[in-house]
Amino acid sequence: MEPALDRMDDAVADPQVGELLVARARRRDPQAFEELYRQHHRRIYALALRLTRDRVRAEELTQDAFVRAWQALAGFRSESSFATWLHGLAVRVFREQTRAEKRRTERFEPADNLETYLVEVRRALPETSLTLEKAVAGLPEGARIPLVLYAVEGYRYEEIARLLGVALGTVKAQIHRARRLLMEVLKP
Amino acid sequence: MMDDDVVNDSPEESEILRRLADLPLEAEPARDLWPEVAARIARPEHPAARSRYRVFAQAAAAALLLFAGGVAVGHRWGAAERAASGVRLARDPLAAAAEVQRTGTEYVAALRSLAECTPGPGTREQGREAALAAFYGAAHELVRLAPGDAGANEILDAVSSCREAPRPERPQGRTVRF
Repeated sequence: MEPALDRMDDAVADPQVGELLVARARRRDPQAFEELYRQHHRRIYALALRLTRDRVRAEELTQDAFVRAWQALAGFRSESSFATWLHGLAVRVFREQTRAEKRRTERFEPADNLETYLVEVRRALPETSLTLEKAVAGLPEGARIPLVLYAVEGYRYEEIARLLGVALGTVKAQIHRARRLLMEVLKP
Repeated sequence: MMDDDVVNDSPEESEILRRLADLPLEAEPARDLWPEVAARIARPEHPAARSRYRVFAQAAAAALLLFAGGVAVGHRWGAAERAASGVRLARDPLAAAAEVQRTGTEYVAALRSLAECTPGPGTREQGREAALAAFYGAAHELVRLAPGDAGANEILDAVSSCREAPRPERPQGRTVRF
């Protein structure tokens, strides 16, 4: 299935250059991989920040995603763009890391718990809507992650289901719920 | 972008989705994260992991020898049911998975038996080669099963490295635990 992440490929100005870099990186050229990192790390960090809502965890997730990408480059089949592949890898790493933390509560978190996160959002995403970021960040994780992937990152339902390892119907229900909750929070 | 919506959007919902899609997609970390990434990818392999792979490979080699010996003896002594325990070709994924589990259990049991034996002269190196060859095949199949699995790729790389670089005999008397 072709990913719907057309927003994602903006990260690399020249796709041919990107392909050459990927080819060199697959031959274990660290300089080429550093160039790929420089091109893509801001996208991965923004995604990681919204997934984790924590600066330190987002930094770690970004690093882990790139280390995993380096290790798994041999398995990259070029069926999708490197950016799409890398994004999926970051989501899978996040999922693995949080699998052990299943004790999260299914409720809105108090806004004051998010203050540290919002400080980082203000710094790292100065152009963003803080109201919207805060509302999204306050959603329960089961609703927030699929919503971020769907509405912000542009994934399709099927892709989200595959990445998160849940049923398609579950993803649809979670996103529906997230939208309803957001409507409540953002109601004037 | 999102043409597979579940419900018909109200104007308010459409507006929220539009605003979400307009959120910025790039954020610069507060510090340069590359040096740590560079340091991690420069490490060829974690020493502990390498050691684990080698220990496992050696144990696997020895176990293969033991298993092959057992089968040969079984044939010779007319233990037909023992010979019949070879891998059966499965016709569906469930049966195949069950077969992997069954033979894996036998394999681990053989390893355990071997760990309690004292190998004869030269058998350790022979066993190592045989085990690595089999282990390499298994790792290769594992990567074929899940090409994107970094762990599987690491195992394949590790086994390849082991096959290319013969290893001196390890000290006697170590216990292998799983």
